[in-house]
Amino acid sequence: MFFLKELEKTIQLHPSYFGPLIRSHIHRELLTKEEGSSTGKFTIVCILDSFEISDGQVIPGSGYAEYIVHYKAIVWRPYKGEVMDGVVTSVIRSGFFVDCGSLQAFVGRSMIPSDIKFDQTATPAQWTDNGEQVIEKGTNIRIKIKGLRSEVDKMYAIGTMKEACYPFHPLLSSS
Amino acid sequence: MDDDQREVPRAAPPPPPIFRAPKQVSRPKAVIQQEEELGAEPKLGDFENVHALSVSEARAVIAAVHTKRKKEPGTNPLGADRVHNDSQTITAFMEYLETFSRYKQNENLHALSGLLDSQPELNSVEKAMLGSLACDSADEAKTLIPSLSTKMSDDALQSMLDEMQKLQDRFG
Repeated sequence: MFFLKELEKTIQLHPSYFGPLIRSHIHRELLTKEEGSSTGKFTIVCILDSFEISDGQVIPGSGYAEYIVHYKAIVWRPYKGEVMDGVVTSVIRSGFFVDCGSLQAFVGRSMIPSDIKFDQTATPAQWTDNGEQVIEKGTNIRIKIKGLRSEVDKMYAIGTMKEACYPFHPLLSSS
Repeated sequence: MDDDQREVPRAAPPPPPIFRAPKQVSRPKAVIQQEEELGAEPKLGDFENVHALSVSEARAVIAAVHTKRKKEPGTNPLGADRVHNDSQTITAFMEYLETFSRYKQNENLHALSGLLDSQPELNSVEKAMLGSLACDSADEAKTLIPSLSTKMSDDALQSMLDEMQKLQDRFG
């Protein structure tokens, strides 16, 4: 789910940037360093343009100045138990992988309803119930997050299709 | 001479050192981490009072920020023609938002938030989820968002979902 969150970041600036354009330098530093970064819990998707910069403080021993920037950003944070949509990226015998933004989720065989079977003769390989429901690469799908694991810069999830009992929304069915 | 020496008062023996236990005798115990999940009662951890956005709302806000950066290249520190820092994550999210946002017209989005705001018992997370998932039936909505089940009657929810359907963009 997306959130509008207030965040804080300490930015160190090299002395060569001190000057009338300092605000712009800090802004650039903020955008290049923070946008798209993940803290392990959430991902910063977009930083809004209004932000506040504290007074700078020169760090003893080096010429760098330290600024604390308060800003608002749109962050994306997945929760356990959340139902979300994603795109299938690869299909294998033991399940399939779904990409939801920056989160990679795996739906294992035991998390797929039993009437949907793996069909390896089809190209590309797919999970299907031999009817309307086909899960192949590129399918839009709705899953429920069963468990989350976060690493320093990336999040991984285990998803399930069994509890989100409406996996194929009519408007989302594979295009 | 001997007498003189005897009369010198003896220095009081130093008081026995008082034993003080170190302030902390054990390692600080890890704070018991509360399981954060969206269940019957959403537990959001440190995002408890943070405003949640639906996929469509997030798309609208991000699009607005990006057009502003494009329009005013003077204030855009990334350079005139770049709206974000081209990281893979952001590109992935832009695609994701484009695929899964259901309300792409701003008027419809405003109408939707008006509709959701008219239900005071919904919190911002539930509103965001309803807006993102675009359920067809009250039953579906309550399955996907368990915390709704006690908050609204099926009929009220159903009529709201029907209204929301009308605002959706039509897909191909």
